[in-house]
Amino acid sequence: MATNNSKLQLTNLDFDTIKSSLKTYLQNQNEFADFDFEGSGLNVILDILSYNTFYNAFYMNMVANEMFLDSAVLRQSVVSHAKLIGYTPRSAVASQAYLNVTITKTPGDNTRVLKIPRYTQFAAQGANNTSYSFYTVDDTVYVQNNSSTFTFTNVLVKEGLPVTKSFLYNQATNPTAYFKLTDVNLDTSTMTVGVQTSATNPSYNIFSLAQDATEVSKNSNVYYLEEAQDGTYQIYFGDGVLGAALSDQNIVTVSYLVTKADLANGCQTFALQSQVLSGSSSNVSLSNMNNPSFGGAQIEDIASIKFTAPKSFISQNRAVTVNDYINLINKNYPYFNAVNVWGGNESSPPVYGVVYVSAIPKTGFVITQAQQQYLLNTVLKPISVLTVTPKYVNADYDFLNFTVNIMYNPAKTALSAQQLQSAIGKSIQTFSNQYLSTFNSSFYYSKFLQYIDGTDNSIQASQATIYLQKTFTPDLSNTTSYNLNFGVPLHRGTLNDRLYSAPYFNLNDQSGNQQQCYLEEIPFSFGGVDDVQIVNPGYGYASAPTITISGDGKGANAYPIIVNGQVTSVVVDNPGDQYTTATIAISGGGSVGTPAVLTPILLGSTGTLRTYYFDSMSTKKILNNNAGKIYYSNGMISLINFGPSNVGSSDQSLSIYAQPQDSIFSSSQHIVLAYNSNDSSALNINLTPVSS
Amino acid sequence: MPLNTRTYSDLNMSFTPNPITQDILKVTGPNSVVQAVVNLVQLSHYDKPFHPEIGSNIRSLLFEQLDMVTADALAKEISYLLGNFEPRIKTKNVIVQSNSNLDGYDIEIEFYLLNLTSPLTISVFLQRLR
Repeated sequence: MATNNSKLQLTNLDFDTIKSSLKTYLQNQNEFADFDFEGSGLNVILDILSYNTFYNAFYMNMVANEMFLDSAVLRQSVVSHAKLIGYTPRSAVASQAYLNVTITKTPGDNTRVLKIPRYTQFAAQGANNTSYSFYTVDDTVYVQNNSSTFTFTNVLVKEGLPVTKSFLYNQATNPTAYFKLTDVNLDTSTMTVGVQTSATNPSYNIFSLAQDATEVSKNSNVYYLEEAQDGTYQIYFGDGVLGAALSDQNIVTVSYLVTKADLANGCQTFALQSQVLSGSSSNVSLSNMNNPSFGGAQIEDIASIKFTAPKSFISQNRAVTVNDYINLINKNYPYFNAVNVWGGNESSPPVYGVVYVSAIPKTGFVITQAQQQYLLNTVLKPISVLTVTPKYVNADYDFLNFTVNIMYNPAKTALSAQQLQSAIGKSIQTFSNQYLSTFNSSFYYSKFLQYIDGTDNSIQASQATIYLQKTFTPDLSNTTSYNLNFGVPLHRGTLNDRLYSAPYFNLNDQSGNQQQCYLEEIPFSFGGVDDVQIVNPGYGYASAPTITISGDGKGANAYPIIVNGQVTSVVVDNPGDQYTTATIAISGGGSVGTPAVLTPILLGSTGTLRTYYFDSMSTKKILNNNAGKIYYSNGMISLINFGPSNVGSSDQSLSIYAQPQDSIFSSSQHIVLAYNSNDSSALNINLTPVSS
Repeated sequence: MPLNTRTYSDLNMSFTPNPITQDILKVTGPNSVVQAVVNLVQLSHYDKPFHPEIGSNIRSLLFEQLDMVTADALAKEISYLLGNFEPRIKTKNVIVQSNSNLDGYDIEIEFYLLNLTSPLTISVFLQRLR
């Protein structure tokens, strides 16, 4: 018999190291010596041993992986782990739309009550002229007085194919009362379940989905829903303790929509298909077509289940923390690319008892009013904590505009200048996808240049100027004030890099003539005195002392306000200009105590906007020297009494462009830093060929 | 046992037990190497798990036309195989002759076992079966 004192390695997992370990083991025995030769019989046996060990190791590894939510790769394992923590993965979601339906009665028709029944069919055209069927999911009843029309507003329709299945419950063959729904892509939110007592007894009860086991009693008409092993769903019923139990020969009827999920998003043209509307169907008109169908989504994927299930467990389906809100919105309303939530206490000024929600849709930039209402009332209200009111704030976009100057060596690239420009554009898009277009995003100038420089070997050097673009649509019939929030600190402009607006807007000049005007920041010349800081208010002033500002500039003038013998504030009535340094001397006032100490503040935190136009001689004329304020530190622009009669863009929108103060800046709350590659003016690339 | 006195020893592929000890019989010395050479010749690519490079194309060559060209190819395959995967021998000669009467090949492999002065010879007849 072979004798051996060496130890086998147990941690090897691949075939070669297992075999090598066995050979090492055999090296110390004296019975057989041929294990290391490929043709030997012993080597063949080692192959079999190693293969078997490897196979078992792999299998055990797979089994171990599937035992944990983090490492499981099979959908049925992930779903099963999620089930243990009370999480049912979201099914496919049908695309939905809200329609206004107007039905005109035929003369002589005395109908007063009209119903649009459940599963009334509407045909819709989607992208690429594909047809989709939308159905109402509930009955809508309208009682009308004497009008000749019935108007149904915001009728909810969902895309899909209605499916109804009936099961005869046989206690002997199906003791656990499980019923499998074999359709894939069914939308479980459209599911209705009813139970008829028997084929001969038409008594019928509606069962609802059990949401919370603590609310379920032995008489509750509830059903439970879970994902079956192959991605389909199955329902089951209570056992007489947690929910009413079925009786033998009950007939279970389940109806739901089988959807095409996100494919049906964006349908705009709807037409009534069903001929069931009270004999008046020929007089039906539909409106509200401007809000295309939305909200359709594929069944929740494995990565999403792994991410969401533990968080859902922590939040217990209640929205308390920021992450609760974000995860529950993503789970229940998977229509958004990104969601941000912040408490009202973080607002300025703080608003208590309110939580703000903002979202970026998967297509476009803002979500419609109907979607906001659905989000607030259907998704958030049931899960929000009492006394906390969710409010929706539209995402506010800072579009980044780039002027990029590139030096490149044409001898080092096969690309033409145009192709190089196009490649740089793609690099910037990649940068944008990586860092921008979401909430709490940051712009890094150095990384931005890295993406540009990495486009092609021929690029020798690059430099970029960044402007933030804020677009708004002013009220053309009223004069009002506007606050535009860039949300990032803004650069205090000089002659060449000051804030500006585009396109033109019309205002009346002093003579009442309409002029094509623009906004601009009044360029900042070397510091006037913007403010005076009171270091020591002094004591015992009988009257206001005289303040003298001296320095290397000229013209600054200020006077103090005295209350109870102390300087409480200083009014700068002329900031002066050309100051780089200044001091303040105080004289007079009859002080008998300590004199006040004042320090001038040269760099102000605000800037001023003005409107201007060019007259018929192309001379620049200033219309209003105080059209608004710029708060550089928080990026707020305030337009005062702004009332243009027209804006020179097709959609009447006006854009304001300002440079950020820093080369690294971040957005927060509802502000989104974005790059719109569809806007040709957002990117300007200047290529300069160099020879080395 | 010191390495310099170790002799080659392998399992006897008949797996016959020793009538007294019930241990499986061994083959030792040159017989062990000869057994390994025969095994190697019969090994096709992909027979060994995870090592498709070990083995030869001999099986498929038996289904080629029975002529001198195939015989020569067989000889080269065998020389290559033994040269690469049986370090204990130095092949002296591989003679393959087609035998049209029996529809197969007479193969004679002549080799030196390392540390053994006289050459050994194995004669095999290879015939396709199916």
